[in-house]
Amino acid sequence: MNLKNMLRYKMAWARAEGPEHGVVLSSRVRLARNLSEYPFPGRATADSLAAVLAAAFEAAGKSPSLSGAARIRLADASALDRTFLVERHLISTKLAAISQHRGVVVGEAEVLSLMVNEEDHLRLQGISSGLCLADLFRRVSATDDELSGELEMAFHTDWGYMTSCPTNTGTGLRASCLVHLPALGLAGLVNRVLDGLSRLGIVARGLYGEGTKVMGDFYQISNATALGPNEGEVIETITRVVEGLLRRENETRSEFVSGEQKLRLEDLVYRSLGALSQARIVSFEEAMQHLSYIRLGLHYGWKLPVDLHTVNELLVLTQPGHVQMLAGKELGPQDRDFLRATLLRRKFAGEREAD
Amino acid sequence: MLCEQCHKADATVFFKQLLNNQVTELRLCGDCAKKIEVPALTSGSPIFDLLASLAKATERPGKIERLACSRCGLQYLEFRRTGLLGCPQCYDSFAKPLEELLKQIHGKTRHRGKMPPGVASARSEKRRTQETARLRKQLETAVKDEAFEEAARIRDMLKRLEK
Repeated sequence: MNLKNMLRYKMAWARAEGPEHGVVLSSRVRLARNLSEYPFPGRATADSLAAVLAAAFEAAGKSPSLSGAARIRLADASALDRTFLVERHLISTKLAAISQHRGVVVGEAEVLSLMVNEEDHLRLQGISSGLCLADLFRRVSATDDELSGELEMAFHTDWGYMTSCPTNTGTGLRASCLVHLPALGLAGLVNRVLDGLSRLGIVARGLYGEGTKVMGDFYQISNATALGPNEGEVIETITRVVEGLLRRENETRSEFVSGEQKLRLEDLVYRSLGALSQARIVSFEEAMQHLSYIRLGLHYGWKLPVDLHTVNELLVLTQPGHVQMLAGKELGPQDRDFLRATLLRRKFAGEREAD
Repeated sequence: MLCEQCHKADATVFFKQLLNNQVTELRLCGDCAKKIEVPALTSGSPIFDLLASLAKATERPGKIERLACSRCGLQYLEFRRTGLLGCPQCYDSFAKPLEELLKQIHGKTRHRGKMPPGVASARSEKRRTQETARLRKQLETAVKDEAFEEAARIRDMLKRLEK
């Protein structure tokens, strides 16, 4: 298995081109589905896991919207390959940890993907740049219809789609946006703004979703419940909430344009530029924090040696698995931090890679 | 600034975590930060806490705790421990406690979203049959009452439905 080729391809969601991409990096929609004739993966035998994987791959092969998709058996992928797939948001950390009879189908430009035998038999995902939940849901739902033509999905008359965890029962839908809120963070307003969301049944999480750290003022905003409102209503609610956050973030950004605050902000942004263009050892967390400030500087149109597209790309490429993939081998933390610093320096100072 | 964990090295990593809408911030050195792992999905997750509190609140000990799924054999107690069901049949086997749980999690217990194409067509077929039966009855009554205008209207509706 060689996933290194994927480094050359651009993921749709990292492009700086979707609606409102200055604040909303990406949108993601996922549907949880199970096949009615098999136990859920957590309680299935190896035989039935294998049968589900085969059935899912076969159905994906017949699905027109997944034509040309790569079908990857995780048992054939190395630990590094799996980390790499996690960092590209194609599989979860959970799926990366267990590989036997697990798989993922990756569609064109990595927009559509299908995890097989994670917590549920099928986790169908659509991910793309900017605020585009409604459009993504249409695409994901169409693929879901295609797959449902081939596979009998577990469905309860009252409770909807049956999932392994009752938090997903109903629509099986999770819609989320990755938002960048550095100005609200600097103004100390981010907690207050996010606290209000829980009343709307919405949660804010770290970069890789459930149970992960918040770094560099990047937050995942998503629905907390799945039963009751229909898919359109959920998409609408999240979209409205994200538009609200976007407005608050932009208002706060525009308050930073004069006097002492501007000086403080300039200092932060140019310190980050200094670190990224000079430092020799940079951890991923540190890179995220500095790239976050550089993104903010770009918003003001300040003269910086990179554009938004490059920054988005670096947010992906500086992740531990990607750094190792670039090196072509597994590396210890120190070597990773060194290689990451070199990569960043090359982009920020135009320096050639050290031999 | 010194690391808040070991109080020796300089803090280089700012660790922010959002749990139940409480943001906790930690300033750590690189070594201590590495030791802090992403919390496990089960312990401390909302569903886990919910299941635990629900167990206290609603259950008469004994009956529900002895439940097991008729298809996959999952014990209700084990479900309560892990928060994960074993198979689609568990939804029927644990219907009663599950209804309560779904209500606690989602605030609702009726799905209003999309359904598999097969279910959707079966459902509209059923609805049509019921509607036809209802109209036939109305038609009978109308004819008996010699309300012929009404009867004609109902007959047209039936025709449209059966088309």
